[in-house]
Amino acid sequence: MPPSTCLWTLTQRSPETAVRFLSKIHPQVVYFSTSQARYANPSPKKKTMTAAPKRGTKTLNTKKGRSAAQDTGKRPAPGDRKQARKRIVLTNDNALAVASLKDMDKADTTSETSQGQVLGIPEATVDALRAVEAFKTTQGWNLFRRPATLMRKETIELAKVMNEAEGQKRTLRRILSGERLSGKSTLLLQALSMAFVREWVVINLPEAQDIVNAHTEYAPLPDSQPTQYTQDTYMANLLGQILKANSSASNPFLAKTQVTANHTLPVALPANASLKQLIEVGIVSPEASWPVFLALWRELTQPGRPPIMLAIDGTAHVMKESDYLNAQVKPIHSFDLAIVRHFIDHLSGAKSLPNGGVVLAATSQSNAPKTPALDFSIEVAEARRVNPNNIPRWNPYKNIDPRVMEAFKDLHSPTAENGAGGVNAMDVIKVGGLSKDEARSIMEYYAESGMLRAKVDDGFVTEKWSLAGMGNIGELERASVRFRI
Amino acid sequence: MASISRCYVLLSRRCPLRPPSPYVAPKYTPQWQRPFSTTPSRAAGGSEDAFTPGKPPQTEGAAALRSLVEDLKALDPDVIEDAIRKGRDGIAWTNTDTNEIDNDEWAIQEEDTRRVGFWGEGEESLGKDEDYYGDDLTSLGHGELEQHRELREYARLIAWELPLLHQLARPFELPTAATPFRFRYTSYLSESHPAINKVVVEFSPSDMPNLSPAQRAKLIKLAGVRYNPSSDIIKMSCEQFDTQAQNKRFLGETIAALLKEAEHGKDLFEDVPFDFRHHKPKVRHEFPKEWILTEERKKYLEEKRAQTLQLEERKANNEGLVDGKLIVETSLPARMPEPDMAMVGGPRGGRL
Repeated sequence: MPPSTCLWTLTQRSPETAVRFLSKIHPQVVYFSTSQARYANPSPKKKTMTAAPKRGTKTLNTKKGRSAAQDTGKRPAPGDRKQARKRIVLTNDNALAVASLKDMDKADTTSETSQGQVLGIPEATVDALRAVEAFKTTQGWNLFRRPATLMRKETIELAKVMNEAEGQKRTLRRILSGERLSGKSTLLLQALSMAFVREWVVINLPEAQDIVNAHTEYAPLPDSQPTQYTQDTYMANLLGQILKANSSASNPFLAKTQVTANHTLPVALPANASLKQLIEVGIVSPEASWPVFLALWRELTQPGRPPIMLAIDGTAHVMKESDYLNAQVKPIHSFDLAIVRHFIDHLSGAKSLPNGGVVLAATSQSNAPKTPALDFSIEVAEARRVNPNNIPRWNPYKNIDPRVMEAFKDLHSPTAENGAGGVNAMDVIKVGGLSKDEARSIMEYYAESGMLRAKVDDGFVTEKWSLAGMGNIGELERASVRFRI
Repeated sequence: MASISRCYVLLSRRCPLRPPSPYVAPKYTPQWQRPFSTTPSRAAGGSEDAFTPGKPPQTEGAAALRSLVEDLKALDPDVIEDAIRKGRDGIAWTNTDTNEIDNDEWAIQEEDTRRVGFWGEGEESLGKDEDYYGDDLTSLGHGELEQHRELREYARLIAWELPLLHQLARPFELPTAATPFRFRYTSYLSESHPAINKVVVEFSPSDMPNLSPAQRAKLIKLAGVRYNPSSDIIKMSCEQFDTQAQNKRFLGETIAALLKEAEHGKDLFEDVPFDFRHHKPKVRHEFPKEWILTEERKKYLEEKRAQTLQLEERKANNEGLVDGKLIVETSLPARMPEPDMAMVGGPRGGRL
């Protein structure tokens, strides 16, 4: 309690000093409004100082990244992962070499006696196949000592087609269809290897998806109506593949043959240039790759040149609009890409190969977009083989691509050939299951390679053949080699 | 010796606890007792042909009708009411129970002065409330009894009345070409249900007279998803109106409009393909004939197996089967036996 003299001292001062004194002891004036306090800037948060935890006590640390163990492992260099993914391994040193394995030669590819045999692919052909990217990572080449294939019924059928094309100088077109893992891509590879053995010129578009998925540059082709688009880098790469695949030591066709016609190329060509030099021009200057390819094609279709094998895998990807956009930001149809157009012209029969040849298109069941037109054409062609009078009809309420329908007119139109008078120009090869004899042959090869540790007798073969869905070769390999216990 | 209250107890026992069922068997003895079975009795001899199932003979039918009328008369509510009244009045004092009361001088005929009770309020027919002496059954017991009565009631119905329905049966007649529409109405047996007014009609476009193939195709296209291509039937329904008759009329008008458009419309929609995407035909897998294990097939399979076995044996003897295990074992490099290692200078710790 303050002493009573305090107030008494006030009275002794003059009024002026008293007021000053009062304002001094009450410096803060209380206002009625609260807005000043409300609109004041928020005071910075006080950092509460807490004492460090005592030694030996456990504390909860919820902050991220504090205690996570840093992965200090070495990251793969850029491109390593892709390379590992795309690596093609064609040999297995741990597998036994099969002594009885014979190499495929020209006689095998022309006769039917080799049906049911497992034949090795010659080394030069393996290099050429590797150059045209015919081997796929999903195929089981890395299980055996060296690449070898089974000459199955469809292979012999294809060999006959090649005989006919070479003998009669016809352009025969085939579409390979069949179930998943039934060996369509491998059959395509066999066709390519037979073509290499027969010394044909092979041009292979390894994966249709790579052409249309807009991963390579493109440009409109001048003076084309309707506008076509060239892919220079892709074409230069393709020319490189063509050169590498078709110039083996035993068959230096490209190096020997000279350019005969007079081509107008954006790049100068040396005098008396060979086809090899022509292609090299296209490789080194990608902007000239398309004219070089056209010039090469004109040279290859001159009389007296070898037949041509033109092939593509994953056909369904080019049967729709591509991922490229035109100047109006509309998707470009795959058929408007120059190389696809070139292929489709030959597949549909709009253009032919004067020296004969085979145009092959393999479908895929594991990586294929929806293409009702292609599916319907294949379905009709297969049904016509079974019964020409019972052909499925087009469902008009499905989304149709008229350009694709037009391209496969020879398959689904009512006037299509039904194979009565020899070999059809356009047809479907349905890759089905192996017969039991073929299955036995390939399983004996597995056993001789040391990959199948069992006695290959009739019961065993029948068991695996049944497990593999009546001889689906991919499933057969899985059942007998990959998933063995 | 019985008191007045005891007298009332006996009286209350004699009264029915619940209003009597309307289905009381008639008290009078009918002249003709209807047999339990409704199968008409057959006369012996040559009158067999008189009992054709479709058309009963005149006399039989008349007798049946007469009996039906009598039965129904017996069920007439007036008669029932009368019987109930009589029955109630006719409950006489039975001698067994009331002997002592009759003899008792304390038996006083007294007016019932109780007021109309809770149950009789506003409904005199229920009578006055009964006295309760705490000796009644539980409500659960009454429930059991009630259930039993109900079951017996239905048993009586089944025994006596349902067979009468047979007299109303009519033989089935196939629909003719003049009646191509099949209507379906739904009854929920006097229960209320939202779908009572619904009417469904089915008809086949092929049954429509005077339609050319093109017109029929147009009718099918107009019917859209209501057409079933497997059965070739158009099915339409209507429940937008309150009564069945209105809904049926709407359906009839719709069909008439469809037929008129199909028949007389200018455009036949020939450029429009049939659209049956709404219909997924049911796939029925049948066991293949070739797979049936007949005697011949069994024999063939036996022979084939024996043949393959023979071939297999011959191959094993001549060339030898490929045995993966054997191949791996023989082609691995032979393991050399490890030599016993011996110390050069003899074992340590030996004698110097």
